[in-house]
Amino acid sequence: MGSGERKKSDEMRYTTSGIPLKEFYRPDDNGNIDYDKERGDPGHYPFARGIFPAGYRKFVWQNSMISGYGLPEEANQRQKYLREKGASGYGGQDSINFAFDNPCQNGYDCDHPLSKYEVGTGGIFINSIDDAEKLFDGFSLDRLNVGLIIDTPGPIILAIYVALADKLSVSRSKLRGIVCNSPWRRYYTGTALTFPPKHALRVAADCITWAAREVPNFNTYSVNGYDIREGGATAAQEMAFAIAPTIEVIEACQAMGATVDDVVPRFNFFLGFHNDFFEEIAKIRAGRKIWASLINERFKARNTKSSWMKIHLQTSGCTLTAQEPLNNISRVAIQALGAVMSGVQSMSTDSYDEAICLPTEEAVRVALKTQKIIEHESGLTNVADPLGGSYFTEYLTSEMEKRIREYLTKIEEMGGYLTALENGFIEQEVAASALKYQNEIEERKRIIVGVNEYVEEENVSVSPFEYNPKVRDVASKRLRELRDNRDNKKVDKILARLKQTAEGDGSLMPLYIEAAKAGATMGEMMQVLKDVFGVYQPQNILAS
Amino acid sequence: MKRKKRILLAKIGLDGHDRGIKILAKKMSDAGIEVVYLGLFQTVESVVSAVIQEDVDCVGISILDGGQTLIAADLMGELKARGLDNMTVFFGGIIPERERPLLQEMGVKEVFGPGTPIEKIIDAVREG
Repeated sequence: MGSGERKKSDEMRYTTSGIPLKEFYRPDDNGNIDYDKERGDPGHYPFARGIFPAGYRKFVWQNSMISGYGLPEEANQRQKYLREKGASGYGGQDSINFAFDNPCQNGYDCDHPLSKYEVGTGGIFINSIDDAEKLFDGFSLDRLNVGLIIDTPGPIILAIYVALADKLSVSRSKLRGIVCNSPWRRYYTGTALTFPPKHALRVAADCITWAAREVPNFNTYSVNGYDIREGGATAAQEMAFAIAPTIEVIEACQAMGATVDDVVPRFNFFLGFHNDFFEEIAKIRAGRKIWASLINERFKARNTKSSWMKIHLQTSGCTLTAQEPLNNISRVAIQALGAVMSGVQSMSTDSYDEAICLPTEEAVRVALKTQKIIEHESGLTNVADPLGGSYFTEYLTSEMEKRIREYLTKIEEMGGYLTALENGFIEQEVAASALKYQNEIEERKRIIVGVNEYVEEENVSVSPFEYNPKVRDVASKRLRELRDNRDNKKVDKILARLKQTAEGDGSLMPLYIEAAKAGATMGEMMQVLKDVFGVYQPQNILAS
Repeated sequence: MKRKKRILLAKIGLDGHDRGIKILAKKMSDAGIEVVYLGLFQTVESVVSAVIQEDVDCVGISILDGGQTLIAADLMGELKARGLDNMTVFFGGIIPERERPLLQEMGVKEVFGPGTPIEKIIDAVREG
């Protein structure tokens, strides 16, 4: 196909995930759906149209710009820069959202041999309470909404955060934010270390149930669709593979004596917004409804807040191109616009240079301002669910609901999410979707501007972000000093108690906090857990 | 008959982004290249040992989290130390263009960025 040719109009068209499309939609394409039962007004069960009746009038979405690199004080400067440029959270709180580097995600301190290549390159690290203090310097923890994007070591990172709050005499009940704490990361693409499923669930559920009592305003579980989506899943797979494992998490919390209403109001979804505008909006509307019905019908929740799918959304990093990076500003704007029209509660917009490097200051500012332009210039914050009632949107919402539910039923019939993981079903499905998408690009059935069509001879590149090459050395020196200056006997005793508790069935959270206050590091605590629980080996499944 | 090309594909370090390399492994093997896919969380030592054991013609390393120059230094050093100075090494992933000459100076034959047509990579492996 040449650049000037158009596809024939009678050719079959599909959404990105493969839903066949007609040329236009009519009122009768939706059958006779019962509006109150199948959609509901915004703020009303089953919440397909959004969780708040007033949409964004009361609370505009939070600007949760993901960032993180280098030493804690460098990452701190980037977040202060974003605050200065207008990034804000609910009710005028400060909002910061930290990605963690690979060593931290995998539970290694900066000076561990396996950390060698990636200290501070793809996120921040917190090894000790001292790092946390530097990282949050200049932010008041009692008026901060913090995102800690870390999974398996998440409970330990939260414990270090709580230890810092205690040290600064900030009331635990004033702490707000989220620690992702999803035990599933290593089981599929976009992976990081985790424990074997039974132990991973215990560690996560321990954090969730402890926090429900001790830091009741802190979100402690991220229902993560984003990572698996970036790994290649379709829209329907993203939603289904986010919801299915959450059933296991809720049940693990119940087994520890918590009720669904004790814990689920502190769950938060983390979703992506890919290129196919209406399909993504339909995914979010359908997802909210499925979640509400699952929590109500299966788990018999009484608190309405348990049924709310609160969404943090990130635009899709994998849709960005290294070719003509400035074009990514348009891609991100379209995705962010769709996210706002879907009624999300929090958003991180990607920077235009992310297919090349970590974002520069300029690129991240443009990304933040994209959100501000939508908020103030588009008029979209006035009315909730502006696409509700569109024949096409409603049709696609019903279609998407059907497809998400089909996956959920299939997983249920296999015996639940853990079985679907262990028999390779989840990874196989994602690998197949990723391959199909790539094939469409290679065969030019799917046009990506600047990549396989409208290609520029000379790539117009941008100045990339530059890493501080001294990060690992400085961080390692600080760790040496920490270990020299703390009471090592005391640390050893607490770590021994942590080991004992891990071997039994007590709560681990109080011990992490005690250890953090005594100067124990994240890596040392993680090593204790790895020794007791073992580490899950990834399956490395390719598409067949 | 000419022997089929054999490539070893791996990720070194703790970077978990494996969507791209898994697709490459599949497409290369569909194209008749013998692929040894080591997968995630490899070390320089585990890769070089596998290079020797599997008797491959070339190596492809995927990096999306910024470790490229450190990894290149260690990998090329270890290959040399084990007498594999002439091994063909490809890098791919999120690697700024500015760093590519440096990587090539260190001995990396070619660096493939995002959006590279897979056919181009396959051709490079066949020629390499």
